[in-house]
Amino acid sequence: MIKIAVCMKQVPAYSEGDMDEKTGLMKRSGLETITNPYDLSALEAALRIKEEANATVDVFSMGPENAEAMIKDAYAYGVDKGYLLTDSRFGGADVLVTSYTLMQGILAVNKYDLIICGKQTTDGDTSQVSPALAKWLGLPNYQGVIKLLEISNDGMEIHQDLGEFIQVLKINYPCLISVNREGFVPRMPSFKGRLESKNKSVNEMSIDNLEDGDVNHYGIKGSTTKVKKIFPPKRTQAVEAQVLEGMDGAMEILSFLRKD
Amino acid sequence: MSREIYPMEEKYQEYLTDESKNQGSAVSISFPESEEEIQEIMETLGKENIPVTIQGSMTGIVGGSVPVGGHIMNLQKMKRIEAYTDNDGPTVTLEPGVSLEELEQGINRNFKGKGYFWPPSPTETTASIGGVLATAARGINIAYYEDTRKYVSEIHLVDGMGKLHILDKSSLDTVIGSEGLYGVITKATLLLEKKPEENWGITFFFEELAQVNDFVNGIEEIEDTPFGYIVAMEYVDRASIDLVESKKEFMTKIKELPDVEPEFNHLLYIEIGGKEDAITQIAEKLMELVIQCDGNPDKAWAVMGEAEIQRMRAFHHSVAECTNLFIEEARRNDDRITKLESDMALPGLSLKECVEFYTEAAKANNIDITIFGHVEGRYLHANILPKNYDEYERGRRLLSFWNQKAYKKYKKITVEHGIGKVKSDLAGCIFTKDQIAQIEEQKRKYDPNRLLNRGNIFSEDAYDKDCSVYEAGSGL
Ligand SMILES: Cc1cc2nc3c(=O)[nH]c(=O)nc-3n(C[C@H](O)[C@H](O)[C@H](O)COP(=O)(O)OP(=O)(O)OC[C@H]3O[C@@H](n4cnc5c(N)ncnc54)[C@H](O)[C@@H]3O)c2cc1C
Repeated sequence: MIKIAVCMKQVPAYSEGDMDEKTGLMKRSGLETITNPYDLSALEAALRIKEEANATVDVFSMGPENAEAMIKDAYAYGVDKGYLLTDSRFGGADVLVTSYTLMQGILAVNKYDLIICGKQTTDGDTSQVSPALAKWLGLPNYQGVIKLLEISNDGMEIHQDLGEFIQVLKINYPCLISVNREGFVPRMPSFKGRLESKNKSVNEMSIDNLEDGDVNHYGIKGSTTKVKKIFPPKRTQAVEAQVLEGMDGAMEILSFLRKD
Repeated sequence: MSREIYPMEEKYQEYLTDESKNQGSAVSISFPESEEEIQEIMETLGKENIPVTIQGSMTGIVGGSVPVGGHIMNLQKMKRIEAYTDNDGPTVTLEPGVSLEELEQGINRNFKGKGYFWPPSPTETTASIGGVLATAARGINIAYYEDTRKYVSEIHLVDGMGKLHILDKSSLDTVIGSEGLYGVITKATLLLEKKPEENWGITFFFEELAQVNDFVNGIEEIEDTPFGYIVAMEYVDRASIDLVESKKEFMTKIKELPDVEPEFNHLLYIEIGGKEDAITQIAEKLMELVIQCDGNPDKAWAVMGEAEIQRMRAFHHSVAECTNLFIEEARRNDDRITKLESDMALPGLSLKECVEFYTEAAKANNIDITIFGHVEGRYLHANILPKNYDEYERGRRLLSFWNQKAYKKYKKITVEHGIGKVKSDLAGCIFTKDQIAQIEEQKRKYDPNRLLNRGNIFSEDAYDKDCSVYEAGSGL
């Protein structure tokens, strides 16, 4: 039996969230939320393994209480158990502390063979949580995975997109992989799964359920970085296109160049 | 010529057509930016007896905004949202050029977290509010929210002589849906509603038409309650699915949707709104029904939340969009080809009878079609997919055959898309004598010189049309 843990995060559905000027933290209340699209690819990878081999798929998320809806949504895709790390003392966590909290949560539940993460989130966008989590867990870490082959109870073959080339590796559990969106376009949640999810509960965990109970290691207290400012890039103005031919076009370009 | 009126030039070519793909002609064009400017232009043109065609976003599919000579008044620059109020229920007052998409963004920004929306939701979100009101367009949620007129409390109308009329709830009904015959809608106050607390979008797939038919019959027995209700029910046939899948990779919003498995020939999408418990109860009934109909609940998709619901709606919109793309491609080979789409409801028929009404005749004539649309009221669209002009000509005859049969039974062959120019020659058959008299009366009041939107609804010979061919339709 391959025990898989998938890390997922709830993010704002649309990129209109504001930043709190004072704290540098995202203002999330009142915004519609979705599952981070990259994490749905991580879930897809896990479900494909479950279809091919004997496996269980659990989901871990750190977030506010309403992230329970996201975990229920994950049940509709076929997840076995969901764990929500939720505690006001987790608030304001940076990459270091987020990955530490996830590590504590995962270790408190089971000894997993495979941890799967998405490439990045659409709100934080750092791509740093999964390598940091691997480091905390002391696991080998494979980023940019686009294909899983020859899945067995001990390990599998992965294709890693390293930009210039594709690396094919045979890997053994336990380990952490982070998958790219391209190779793992998420399936649709099933109707039957959604109805069944109504009777499944989400397991909530607070600091009190973790081995390290020191509040100074979590949330804003434990964070070592602070975001100074987040701002949307300046939009370029819409300009009307002109179609000019021959000499007219050449003269227009020339006068434009002269202006500079 | 007034300062704001420009002579037609090559660069205004795109303003000579709409999504019907019919081509028109014009002598001048304007892009007014205020009500006063519209009044001024109408007055000037009125004095010179120059006909005017009003344009919103030109997404209409019956040629309503295609000019027939004269002047084009394009309202794309009238984009101000003037006021949001929330005293006696939420409202928005805006200019006609604001698109549905911009309206939604504006509502979300201004009523943050309140969950308001404007119910009429034709799936083409670039459509302008002026265009939506002029055509009384409505969308996928018609089953629950009903007529567009319900969601408007006031409109400003500039008539054919440049005079402004402010119409309230008691008098705006005749103007909404009148396809710009009585004037330019220059401002509107829209009534907003609160979104359901939760909503689910469920997509079921079936191999056999009889299965989906039984399923629909069962669903129609389910009673809505204030806490849980069916907001939308849409049917899509396999030909439509194939068409979308052939073009899906270029459509950002839906390109990641999985392909529909090949054994399935029919898709039924159901949207449920309300409170969580009531939605679950309806969903449980659907589960029982789908099993009874030999459908496969394991294969059904169920999304929730607005972002995912929007993705499902985008799929249904893409069905219409891909049909239009097909016509655009066919036109590259032969520009005589235009869109041929049925726009009639066949209430009283079962879904199966309704689908077969279209497919049997198409098969007999060896013509490819797609069928999709609202199950409520059996308002399905059949689109002809002609690969060449010969098929197009045969398609026209097929459409006419469908129209005749429907007319015989319902005396109605247009429901959602309007009459525009594409069906204007049939106006004499579509309207009763009383309705025509009413339109004439309004026309005398607002546009006695008949300058506005010439060719829409009535063509020159509409009154003389011999309707016997329709009367003789062999019945359903
Ligand atoms: C892919 C696709 C999907 C569609 N889906 C739907 C759908 O689900 N439901 C539906 O009902 N329709 C649908 N339509 C048709 C179309 O989008 C609607 O009819 C829409 O309301 C047209 O708006 P518009 O701004 O583009 O108007 P235009 O096409 O510019 O004009 C339509 C008519 O309204 C008149 N008009 C425009 N603005 C004004 C004004 N301010 N005052 C007076 N008259 C005016 C024009 O003269 C013309 O007669 C669809 C079209 C496409 C291409």
